[in-house]
Amino acid sequence: MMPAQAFPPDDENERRRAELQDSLARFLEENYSKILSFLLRQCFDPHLAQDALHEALIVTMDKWEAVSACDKPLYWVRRTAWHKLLSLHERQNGRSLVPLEPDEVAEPTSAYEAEMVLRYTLSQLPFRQRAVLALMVEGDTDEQIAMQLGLAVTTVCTYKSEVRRKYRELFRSGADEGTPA
Amino acid sequence: MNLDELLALAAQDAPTPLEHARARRAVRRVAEDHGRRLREGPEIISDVDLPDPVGGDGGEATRIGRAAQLRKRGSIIWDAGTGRLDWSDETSRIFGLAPVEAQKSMIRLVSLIHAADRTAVCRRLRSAWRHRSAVEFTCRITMRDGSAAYVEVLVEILTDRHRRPTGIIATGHDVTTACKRRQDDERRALRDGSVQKDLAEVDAETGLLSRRAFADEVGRALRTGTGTLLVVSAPPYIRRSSDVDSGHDDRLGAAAAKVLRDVVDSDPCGLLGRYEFGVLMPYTTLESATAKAEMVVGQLRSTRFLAGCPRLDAFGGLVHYDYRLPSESIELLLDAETAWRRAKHEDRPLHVLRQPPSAEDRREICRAGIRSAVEQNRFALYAQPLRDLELNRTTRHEILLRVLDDVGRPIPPTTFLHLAEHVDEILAVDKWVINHALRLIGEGAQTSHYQINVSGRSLADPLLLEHLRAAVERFRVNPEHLTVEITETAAIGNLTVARRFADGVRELGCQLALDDFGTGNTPLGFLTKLPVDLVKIDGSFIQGLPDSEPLQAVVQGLVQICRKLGILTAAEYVQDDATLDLLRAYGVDFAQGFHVGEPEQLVADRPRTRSIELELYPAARYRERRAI
Repeated sequence: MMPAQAFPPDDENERRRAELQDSLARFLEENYSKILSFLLRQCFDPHLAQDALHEALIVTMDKWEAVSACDKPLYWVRRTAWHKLLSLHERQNGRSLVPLEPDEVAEPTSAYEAEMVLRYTLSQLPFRQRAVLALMVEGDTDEQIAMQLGLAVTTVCTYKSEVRRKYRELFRSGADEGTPA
Repeated sequence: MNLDELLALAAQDAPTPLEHARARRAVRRVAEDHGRRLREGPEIISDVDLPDPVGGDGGEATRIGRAAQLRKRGSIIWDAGTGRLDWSDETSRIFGLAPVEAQKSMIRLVSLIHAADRTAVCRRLRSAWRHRSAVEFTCRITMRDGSAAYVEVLVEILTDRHRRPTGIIATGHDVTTACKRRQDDERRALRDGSVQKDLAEVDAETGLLSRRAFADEVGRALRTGTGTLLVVSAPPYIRRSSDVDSGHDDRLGAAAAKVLRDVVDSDPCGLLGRYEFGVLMPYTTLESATAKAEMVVGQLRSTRFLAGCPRLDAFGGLVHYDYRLPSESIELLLDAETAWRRAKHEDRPLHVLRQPPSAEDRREICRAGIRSAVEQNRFALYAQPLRDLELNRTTRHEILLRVLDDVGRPIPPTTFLHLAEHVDEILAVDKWVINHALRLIGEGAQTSHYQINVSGRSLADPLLLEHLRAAVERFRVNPEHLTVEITETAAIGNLTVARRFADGVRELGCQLALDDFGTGNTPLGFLTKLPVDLVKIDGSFIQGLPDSEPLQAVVQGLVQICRKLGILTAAEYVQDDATLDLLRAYGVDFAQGFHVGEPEQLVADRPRTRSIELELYPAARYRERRAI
């Protein structure tokens, strides 16, 4: 093989790498906070969530070529980060994290207050239901949730109704609002 | 606000510029780390699933199975169409089976589940299938080697494209360690709640240490160095016999204790008896201790109108101790008590013993005191009713000994008996009790069942049994209506001798009881080794029973043991109706205590069985002090 002929593909490689790096940067710019807040809704321990995301992103960077080819790279990263979080949590000997104190829950009026109510609800759920609720915030469908969490679709349905029931139970005394659908 | 509205509101939360900056920094760190790892090794090894989660080849089962494998979970798949069951290698590992296990069937799987959990697991699986919902549970499995393990299982229903159920997948992993840890955490939490917070025995009225706790303090001081022990007697100048009943005694005791504490400051103080206080002054020379003791006695003497009492008559006994001169705490206390009596005899405020008397002398002093008490009949007998909880009426009486103090007032005999046991003079006391009690019983109508106390120490004396037999015959007491209660069971040194005595008592036709069961030194073995008819559960288990689950557990357990062995049970120190109800529910046979009936002096005619006393007189505290 002639060395001269190696140039164009190299060039091609170079260009491709630059492109990938670009797309990765854009992807992270867009999604980093989103994934982090998803993780924070899982474990309430910012350090653990950051560590899990850090690990997951290193893998993402390494495999970006394959990952970016996915239909939804965000789902891939989110799934990986979730698994990392679970295994980190297990390595912590499954020590349960401090549950949040039930705050004075009035009708939330801002996104921040809604987040607080949401966090409290999350803290009252087992870990898989917690993940389902966190993905409900993102607006994912049952199938999408099932795929990201490695669950069956029926399970996601069951968990969703469980989550709704639990939410009603927690805030039943919240007075005048209508019952959720 | 319903959940959907909440979620919509929460989703509006856009990241702030600060969070953007933070994200950028984090991404930079990720890039650095990535570069570093690339330099260190060619491959970034990680446990991630590369295929696209959305595109996904194969059905749900494959996807879930792969996710389970990545998280080191075993998976078991059951296909509804074919009825085939299959499990992963990881599952085989969890069950302790060879990976290539030929036989993978439902029957085999069920046989691997722990027998105790089998029905519950099957029920859950069926319900999950029926409702098409996921269930999670923890169950036990039996491994090939017969050991058991806990596994946490998630059971999910698989569906096809049209949401029709096609099978079941179960994923799980071994959680034995976590389960055991959680069980132990729960057990510890329970244990922390059921154990007494501290053992400090402080008198409720005066806030001083109880006699036993104070003796422990003295014992500790005795082993570690030199120092002085002061015992002060501070009775009111004029004593009335009504003081006891009116609660005046207790008020005065508390007030005097306060005066005492103010003077001595931080040294340990104890309540040794009625109007008798102890002060331990470790590491003090005799000179400074004498000065302090004079101050204490002076202060008590100069106090006027304390709790309605015009004047106190205080005497102090001071004794110096040294770890090089071996003596026991009870002996030292006795020395100091002898010293204040000496001071009183000589009418001086304080008597100082530079050195404890020799063991011989002390023993002689003590013996002489006990003998003279016996000879001068300085005792009185009281009878306290025991209520049969089934018939709900008094059917028995316990004969109690009271020692009369120097002005002829009855005091609880604990200290006296303790001393008598210490110097081996208890037999004389026991014989006195048998003689006088049986005479009084014989003179009465004998309508009740009587229980008399005998010290465990006296059992060793073969003469005691003879004495009892003779007394029963002489006073024509019906032996079937007599129970011998063994107190101070700790003093039962020789079980063979005790057994001989017990058999003798039963031959006479009398019954045998163990007093204060459960505290001190009463092994459970006594229940099977001695022919006991009745066990009296110690009052410390009964006081506060309705509010204490741990005590309830102990009493319930004790009663159960006794019932199975054919032993009757009695509860002391019953103080309210709630306790009575509980005891009745547990199947306790007899109840005793001030709530049931107070002790009354046993006189020539039979004790008047009075109606139930619902009012608690302050005199109840006597009985309580007996426990101290």
